[in-house]
Amino acid sequence: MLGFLIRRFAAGLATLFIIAVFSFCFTRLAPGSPFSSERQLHPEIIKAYEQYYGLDKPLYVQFWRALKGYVRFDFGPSTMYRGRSVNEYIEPGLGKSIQLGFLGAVFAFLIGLPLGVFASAHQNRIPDHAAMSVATLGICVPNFLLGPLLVQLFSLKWKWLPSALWPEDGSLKELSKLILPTITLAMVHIAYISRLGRAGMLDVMNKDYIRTARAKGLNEWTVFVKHGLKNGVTPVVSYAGPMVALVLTGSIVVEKVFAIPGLGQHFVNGALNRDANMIMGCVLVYSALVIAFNFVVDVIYGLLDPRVRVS
Amino acid sequence: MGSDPIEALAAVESRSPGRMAMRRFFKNRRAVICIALLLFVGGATLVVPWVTRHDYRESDWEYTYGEPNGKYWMGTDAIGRDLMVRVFLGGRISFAIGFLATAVSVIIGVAYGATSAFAGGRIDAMMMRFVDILYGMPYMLVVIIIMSLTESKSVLIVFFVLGVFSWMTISRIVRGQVLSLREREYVEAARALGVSAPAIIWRHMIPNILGPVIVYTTLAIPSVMLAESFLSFIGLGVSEPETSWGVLISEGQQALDRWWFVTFPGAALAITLFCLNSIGDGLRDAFDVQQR
Amino acid sequence: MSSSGKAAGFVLLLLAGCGKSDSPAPPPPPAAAAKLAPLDLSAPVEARIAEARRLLAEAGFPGGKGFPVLEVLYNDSEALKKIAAAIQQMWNKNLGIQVVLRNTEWKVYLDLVQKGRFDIARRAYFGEYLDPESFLSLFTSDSGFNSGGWTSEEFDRLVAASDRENDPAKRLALLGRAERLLVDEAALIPLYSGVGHNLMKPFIKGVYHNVRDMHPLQGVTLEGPGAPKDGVLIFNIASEPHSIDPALADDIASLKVLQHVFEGLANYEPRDGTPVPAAAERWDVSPDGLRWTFHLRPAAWSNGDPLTAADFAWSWRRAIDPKMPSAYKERLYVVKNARAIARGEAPIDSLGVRAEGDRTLVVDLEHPAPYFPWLVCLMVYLPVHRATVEKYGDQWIQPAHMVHNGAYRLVEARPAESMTFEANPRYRAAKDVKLKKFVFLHVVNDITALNLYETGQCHWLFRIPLEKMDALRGGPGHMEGPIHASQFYTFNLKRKPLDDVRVRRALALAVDRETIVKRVLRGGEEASERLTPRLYPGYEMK
Repeated sequence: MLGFLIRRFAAGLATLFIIAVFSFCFTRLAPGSPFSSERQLHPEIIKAYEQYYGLDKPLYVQFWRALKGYVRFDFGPSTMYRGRSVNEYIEPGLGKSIQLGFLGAVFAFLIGLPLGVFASAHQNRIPDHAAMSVATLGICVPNFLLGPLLVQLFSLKWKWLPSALWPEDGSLKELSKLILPTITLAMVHIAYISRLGRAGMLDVMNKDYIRTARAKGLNEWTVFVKHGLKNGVTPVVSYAGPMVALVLTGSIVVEKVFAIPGLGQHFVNGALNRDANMIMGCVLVYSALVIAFNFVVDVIYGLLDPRVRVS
Repeated sequence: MGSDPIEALAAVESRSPGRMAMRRFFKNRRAVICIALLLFVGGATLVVPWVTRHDYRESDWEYTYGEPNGKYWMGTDAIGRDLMVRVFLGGRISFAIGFLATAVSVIIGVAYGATSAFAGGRIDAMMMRFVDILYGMPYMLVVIIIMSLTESKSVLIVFFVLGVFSWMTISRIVRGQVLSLREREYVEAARALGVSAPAIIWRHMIPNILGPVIVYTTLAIPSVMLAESFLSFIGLGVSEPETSWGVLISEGQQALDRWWFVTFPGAALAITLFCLNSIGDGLRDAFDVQQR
Repeated sequence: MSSSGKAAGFVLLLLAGCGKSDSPAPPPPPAAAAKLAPLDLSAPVEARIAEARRLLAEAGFPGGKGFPVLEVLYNDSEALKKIAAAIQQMWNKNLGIQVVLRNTEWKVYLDLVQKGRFDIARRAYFGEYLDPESFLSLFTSDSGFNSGGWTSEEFDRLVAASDRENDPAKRLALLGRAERLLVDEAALIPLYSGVGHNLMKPFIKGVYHNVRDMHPLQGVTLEGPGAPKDGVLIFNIASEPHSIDPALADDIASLKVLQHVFEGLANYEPRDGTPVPAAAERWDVSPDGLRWTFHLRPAAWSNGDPLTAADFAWSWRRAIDPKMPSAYKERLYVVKNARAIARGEAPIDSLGVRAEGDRTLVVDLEHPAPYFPWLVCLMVYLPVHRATVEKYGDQWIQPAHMVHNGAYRLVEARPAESMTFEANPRYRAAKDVKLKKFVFLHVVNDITALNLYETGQCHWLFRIPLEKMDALRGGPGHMEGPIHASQFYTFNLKRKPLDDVRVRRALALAVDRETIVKRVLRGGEEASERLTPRLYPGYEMK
């Protein structure tokens, strides 16, 4: 077990390092300087910039200095927000992205799982077709279309909910700002989870031990819940891993549509504005999150299923 | 029958697994309807721009932001261009990107996975370790970085970048299939009977790998199309005067009161994705039973 | 003709890069010294197109045959995309030539433009002072803006002469001749003059349209139905300020913040945007126009320290310091020795500014500049509190540390989200400040901002999305008016055949700018046949 954990951890670190190198090279070698402004900069001004941000040093020196910073969780100064450090943006942004992602994930499971199980219980009858069509629709309508549609309906037309921004305090009115972004973020995952749940349940309900349980005289409910559900939902649990990465890209859209200053926003703005430190910071934090999450999932799997540890 | 049992065994195995799966597939009504629908939409993207009298770049300055009417069935956009021809031309590009990117990823993935499985041993372990590491990379972030750093946003670059970053899953699937198939009894039996290696690969392995690959491909195309539309939304998609469903939808969602901007491309994309997913599901059901 | 063929061809062109001309070399451009006929860009469209075709044929490309495929560069924006697509079409239809469009993000666009890596680029400028020279100086040979390579000795001579001319009428005449030359040689394709659109809730009073689109909030009140009970105005400044250190700031969002937190020698008058005395109560200029003397009012910093002339002198020297990475320090170059100092060729102390006592600031200029009061309203001329900067370094801009002299104090800054301001009780005219508290939002997406406005989460927008222009114009809360901005396309003269003035003139003539402003922009913009907006009484281009 320990060997397994160490191998996983090492793989995670290796990935993180490769990502850092790759992002660093790309951002430093890209066309487009971060210091452009409307009037062409005179050489002396460009020199001042480069000295200030340490960009006049050779690449490997820059990378080493950056690495030293990352170990201390310091991502350096931002080039698009002068005089401010990247940390000032990533720290509050990270909190918001995690909260939003968590809400989206919980909501997706809370709605998706029952939906899938329900559909499987009425296989091939109308409720099943209805539920699955709704689910598939969730996959087919892109979230950057769903979001504005929801806003158009619930905020602008019926005026039930606020249209954007992050809650300023814990009051119900402020928290209601989270409703539409959460739904937008969760929709595609509701779709996948319900499909997986349904498939998993159908798979399990046809197995022999279910037939045995029925033959034993247990009522359908007990059979379904006690024996079927436990095993039927494993595909859903295994979806959790890839889901994290998808929530990440989904949050880029949600943050843009609802003006939430999360990591996704900072990353895209950094990429478009060639703010190398911002890009590096966001990429590293995101990757670390995904890797950490997958690591935890692997550990849980390792605990549950001994075969996995050996492979 | 009363014939030799080994011959009987061989006779059963020689019925193409593919044909059995196809028979099962066509019993699935939803999937069949979706194939028809998909052919219809795909056909429209080929035919409509060809037969229409409007040019996709020509502006009717008297009728900008125009609602659908007899002359412009899907309305006009902000600079007076006919939206119907743009929706279907955009469809061509969206389909092209979806198919080509998936093709790239499948080719790389199958080659990589099969090689890894056949190489076996330490090479296999190393290759899979590499895949694990790549898996940890946030694919979309990398795509965004690359797209924002390349100077020209041509269609080629978009699908190449998308394809290059999605081959890992298929390589794992293929490797898994090859590994498990190598150990199957009927392969051993065939080897024992003296069937040559290429024949084993051709008649036994390929049909079994093909199943998951086809299923994966059908399900990957919609996700690539969605990825392309996502890139368009951020502003990294195809550039003017070409367009794609992603570009049209992201332009349209900014003007929802002009409902025709977003409804037609949105419906086209949704129908296409729905059909591809249903077909993929149907294929999976058809092949899966056979796997057990 | 199948448009699918065209589409395929276009994709191929995109992939192959710019096409090459394979016809024989066109006849060389005419000798430069010949005086050109005036380029009349306000003639009727048909006449312009006919003339354009004639010129193009004369230049060796009859009907567009053999004309290479050029690239039009613009930065990401829906409106710009539509304009570029329209122009692409117009050139295709009217002249038979093809261009490809290329859009890039802001930073990349700026980089490409400055390095001269473009064929035709979209440009725009918001003039800082209400004078034609603010635009014309963009096209002198040593201007950082002029990366397309168009030069004219005559033009440089005229602009320099206007700098030394004291008589206002003669000065404007010189500038008018310079602009005529600029347009006739088609150094640019004029498009339209800017229009500012503000969307404000009806309870906001005390706001007037002005050509700088600058609205100091001190005089604003919130009254009437719907006014927020907490009296807080919520204004969307549409982006995160790049920096709220006056020496480092270079964007409009930062200007809006700094205008309220610091006070410079002069500030913009709310009604017409002209500079009026602020920290200085009056100023004099010497007869030769080279020495300005500013007399400061008694005032204090927010921590009680008196505001002195030495503060201004120190702040300007700080901004011009070669180590200070500020793009905006160019605006200081009108002050004596500033450019040399920034290049590291002169000591910082030699900057042409000094304090004579606590209340008198003497400024020496490189050349006469009657528009100097406009410049001192800009960010880079604002004073900063020396002791605070020296104590906290980079962190002096944190709300907890900041010491300032403006009407408002920055209470809270949420990165990329919002900034909250409250009236500064120590401000020299604190009793005149009517609006006590306001919030700036940093919402970039125009549509989201508009949604916030409609749900009442935001009260004031200064940008409205193109798609909603028709619906909002003239409606409640909408304020519209010309602003001191100009939109145009420039050429890269190193790219053949753009070095031929006939080709440039043809391209400029063939753009139907009236249709663009009427059908595409629909925001009341005015099609323009020249670089400068029509905002200067007594000024004519001739």
